[in-house]
Amino acid sequence: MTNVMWLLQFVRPYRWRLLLAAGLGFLAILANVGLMGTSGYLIAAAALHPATILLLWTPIVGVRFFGISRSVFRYLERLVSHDLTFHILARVRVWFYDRIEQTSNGTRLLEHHGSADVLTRAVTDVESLQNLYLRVLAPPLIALFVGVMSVLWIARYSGMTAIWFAVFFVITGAVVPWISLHLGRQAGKAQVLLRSDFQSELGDALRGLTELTMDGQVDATIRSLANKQTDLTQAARRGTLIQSAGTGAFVFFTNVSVWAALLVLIPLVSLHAVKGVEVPSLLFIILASFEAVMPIPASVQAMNETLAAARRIKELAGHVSEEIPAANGGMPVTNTEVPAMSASELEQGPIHRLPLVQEGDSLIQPPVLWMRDVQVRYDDALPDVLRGVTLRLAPGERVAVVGESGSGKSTIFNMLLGLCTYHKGSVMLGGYELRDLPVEFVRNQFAAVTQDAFLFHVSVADNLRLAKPGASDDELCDAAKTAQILDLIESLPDGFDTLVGENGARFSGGERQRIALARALLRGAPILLLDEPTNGLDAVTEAEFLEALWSAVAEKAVIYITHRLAGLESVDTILVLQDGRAVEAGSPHQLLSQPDSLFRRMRQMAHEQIDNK
Amino acid sequence: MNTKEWFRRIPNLIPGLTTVVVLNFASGLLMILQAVFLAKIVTDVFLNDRNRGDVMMPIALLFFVILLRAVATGLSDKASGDVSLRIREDLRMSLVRHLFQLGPVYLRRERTGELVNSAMNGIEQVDVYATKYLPQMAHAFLIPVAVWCLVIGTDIWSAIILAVTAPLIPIFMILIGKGADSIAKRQWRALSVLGGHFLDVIRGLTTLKVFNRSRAQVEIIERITDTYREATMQSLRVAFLSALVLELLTTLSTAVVAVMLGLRLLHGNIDFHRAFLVLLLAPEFYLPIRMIGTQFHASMNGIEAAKRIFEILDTQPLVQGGTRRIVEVIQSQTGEADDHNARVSCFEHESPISIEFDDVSFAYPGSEVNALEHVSFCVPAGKTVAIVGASGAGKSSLFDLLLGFARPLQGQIRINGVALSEFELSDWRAHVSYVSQTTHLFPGTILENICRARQGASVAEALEAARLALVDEFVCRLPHGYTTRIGEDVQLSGGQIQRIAMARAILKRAPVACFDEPTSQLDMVSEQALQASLETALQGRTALVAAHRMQTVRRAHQIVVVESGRIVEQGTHADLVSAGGTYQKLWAFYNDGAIFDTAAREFVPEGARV
Repeated sequence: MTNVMWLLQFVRPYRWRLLLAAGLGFLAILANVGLMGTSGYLIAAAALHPATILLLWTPIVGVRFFGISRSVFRYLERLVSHDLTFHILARVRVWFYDRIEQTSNGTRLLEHHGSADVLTRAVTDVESLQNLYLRVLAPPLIALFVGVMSVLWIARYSGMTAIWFAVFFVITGAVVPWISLHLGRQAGKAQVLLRSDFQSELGDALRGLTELTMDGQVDATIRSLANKQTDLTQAARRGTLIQSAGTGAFVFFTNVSVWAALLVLIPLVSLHAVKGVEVPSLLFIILASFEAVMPIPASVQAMNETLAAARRIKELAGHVSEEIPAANGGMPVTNTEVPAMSASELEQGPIHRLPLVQEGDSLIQPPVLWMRDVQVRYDDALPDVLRGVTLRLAPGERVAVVGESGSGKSTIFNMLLGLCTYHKGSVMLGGYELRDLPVEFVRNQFAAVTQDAFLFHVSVADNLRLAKPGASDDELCDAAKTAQILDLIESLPDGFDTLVGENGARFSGGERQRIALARALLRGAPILLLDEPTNGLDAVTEAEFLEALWSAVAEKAVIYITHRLAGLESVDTILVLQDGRAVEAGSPHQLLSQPDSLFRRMRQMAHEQIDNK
Repeated sequence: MNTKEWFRRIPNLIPGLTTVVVLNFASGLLMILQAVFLAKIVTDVFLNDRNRGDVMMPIALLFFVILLRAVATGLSDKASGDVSLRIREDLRMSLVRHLFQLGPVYLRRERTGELVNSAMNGIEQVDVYATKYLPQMAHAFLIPVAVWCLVIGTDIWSAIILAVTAPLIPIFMILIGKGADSIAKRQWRALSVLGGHFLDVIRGLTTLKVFNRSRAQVEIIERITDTYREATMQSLRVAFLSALVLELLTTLSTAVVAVMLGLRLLHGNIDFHRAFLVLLLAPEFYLPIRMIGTQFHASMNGIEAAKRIFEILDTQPLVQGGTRRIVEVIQSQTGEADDHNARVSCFEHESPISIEFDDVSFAYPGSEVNALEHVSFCVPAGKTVAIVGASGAGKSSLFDLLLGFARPLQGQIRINGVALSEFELSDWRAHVSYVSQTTHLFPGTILENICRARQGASVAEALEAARLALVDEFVCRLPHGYTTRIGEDVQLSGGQIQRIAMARAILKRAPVACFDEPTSQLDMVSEQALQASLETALQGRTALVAAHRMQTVRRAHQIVVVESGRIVEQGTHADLVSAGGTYQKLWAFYNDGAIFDTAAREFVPEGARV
């Protein structure tokens, strides 16, 4: 029930439009009822050979009117209801997006737990809610209107007939669908389970076909799938039995209602309580009214599916909203507990006070970042990921953060961009505590390149402009040139207007990373933040990318997060992370000249490996 | 796609559908009979002043007819449901079998999600066309003909009206069909563009956030949906017009029949009984024809889905295996008479298998560019050959060919001098252990996944292999150790998966080892630690190893450098480093000797400074 109410919130703003659509649908069916009713009356009246044709004039006009109006109502109903469908779709989408956008941890949830499949299903579920009106709400609503209207009309002639009609109308429109839904639920549940079981086994088998083939497991897998399919067919057979019984019952009760009406009407005609001339008309009205009930079984089915989709979406969205938003997004306030940095505290550069933030786009000049003993955990129940990290970044300085996977490198990235928050220590950005700054402002200070950067399925230019919406063509060219990707872009058939394909499929990994670099450079933010930008690139491509990188960032402050030790000769400071702690920091030269530094050992290991015979 | 194609593709469709059509027609005839009885009873009561007692017999018969009609309709529904279940099962399983036959190379080019969708939803849509639309076509012909036959015997004028309007319906139908086709396509395109955009935005949410563009998307999503709504509504306004005309045609025909009957009744040209009967039947005459429209809409998706499914079924597998077995070839070459001994020597002792690529050229289907061109090299029995080159140079193509996932366009691969194409593929693959760049792990425990590599492997053997591959290191930290369920209890990192893959390869102990970048996802420390077990796995095996990490390559007996599908250099490490070619450049980069500062240089030992 709560799910139903929850679903209704999406149509509430359009309730008048919805009533209009339902009203038109009702009128379309009513027109047919009217057509058949007046036709029946017409021939019955004519059969009595009235003295003048004028007496038939009203039913003849009625027949014509209803004949034409039905199509017009139907046409209008289609337009209004399709329009409504699009409105609902827009609302559901915006709601869903809004929900997961508001929490940064939601993003993580979708990225990590939500493999592409889960995501795709969530989006499909969201889309399926668009049928809320057309398939779920409209049929019962219209049937209700039609039923009430017909009962009232029939009751004018014979109360008893009206009662019988109401009984059969409720049986076909509510009782039979309800019973089949109830009976089918068990079979349906089993079917859904078996089907998703089959689907995931098939998906797994196709993704792992190489392994299956090499392990000689292909035939066994086909046998297992075939068995599952047989079970599925067995479960579905029960479903079709229930469904066809429902169809039979529908046909039976619809026609028996006419039969029962006859049974009631015949004695009444004999007693002259009902005029004989009215009988054909009443019978036609009864028959035609049942048109309204026809889509109900499908609507019950659709309701079931829609509710299931709603449940899944709510679950996912609920999961998201339970997590605490990372940054509070409040106005910047100076934190009195953490003393403001003085010029003397930071040897490498002067501190400029942060200008009061007027717009999201203002920048710190010059950039200064100072992390002191920062501790981060993703969940209170989990151990800290960062357990005391200190890092200073002066204007124009290049800091490399190295460490093995799981040492907490990417957490620094997430934290700086407000994708997660720290619970101890302090991060000063230009003299302000990071968590007190509006998250939009913070993000404007960074230009980021992530591992496996995401490109949207739009043109290259639009992908770049993401970083700076109003960027001119020249700016795009400059950024692309610095990232050493301009030649490639210009060689494309449509240049900057070329579509990048789904997730940048048109480009190779190295090319994608360089486009992402161009995007980050275009941003013009004071600090460049790179998280494993060469992950998954081969040696040659990696070398080329790093070459492009270091020549591109001549003036900028850079934080370069990596687990590769190649190409670090161009940085000023290396910070070595181990198990969430900063264990070493210094220039490459310093670190290598300390005989027992971890960094030196790591490099040494790499070389020993090469020469170990 | 015509109907014949469907009947050819789906065996037993004709008998199944015949049952449906016959039952459906029976239900139609009962409907006519019901109208006849109803007309008789109403006439008797209304005009002939009979009371209930007089018409008891026809009323009882009417009930019986209604009951029969309901049963016939139910049965026809059941029959059509059964046909649809059979289609789902048969077509789905043949699709699945065929996909497995097409092999990894085909699957790599396709999106798995889309293929699974075809096998699940696609097939469920296909049967709507076969079991609803096709019978409806027959129904839409048979019922109107039967109704018309009765009407012409009852009232010739009404029959003429029906006969004149009926052919107009198919004409409008075709018009609507075309219209509906374009509506459906337009709407589908609009929705898929919208859906695609939405999915894209959600997937790239982190990127949007990083660039502070995520809030702006709310408005953009709203605006795009609105724009599409307006555009689509504009075209729908026109497109729905044809449906309007059709509806108008059928309701107006009924209206005209009614008015004409009324006027002729007035003049005594027809009696009430016949007029009432015709009026009862007129809507039934049009109903099945109009239903086609509804079913047509539902079956549109089915046609699209079927096209895709039939396209997959028409794709030919890349490779057809031969019949020879590895053991036989080795026996004939070594003179070992005993089958078992030959097998044991193969798996337990030094590998007796040698591999030869002889002038092999290859292109992936649908690709203009050759992935390999005139590649020739040998892997002698028990030796290791390393393949070096940038991604896309053709390393993985070598593995695809050697594993029998694809066939050379030109040239030959020989195993102990016998062409690979002569071997039974599953037998050959049983002699190869393969570690790919992306190993897929199946749902189940870590131990189960390792054990899959060799049927009949004991748990002790599997654990030993896991220990060698350093799987122990992270498994001991997992909640349930080796019985931790992958995907449910824990998400493994790329490096951890590669260690499991290595354990699988060690467990399989196959004479031939094909390792495609086996350590690419590992960090430096783990990679170095794994080096020893890699050595173990390669010991005495005939091995082909691709790597872009130089340390893996260094110890190979022979190094083959590929660039754009061609072999550019070939030789030992020492040969190639002194040759000053591509290999030397790669070596220098990884060595860092040339580019790192002097402090580093002292740690570069002798061999590397050549």
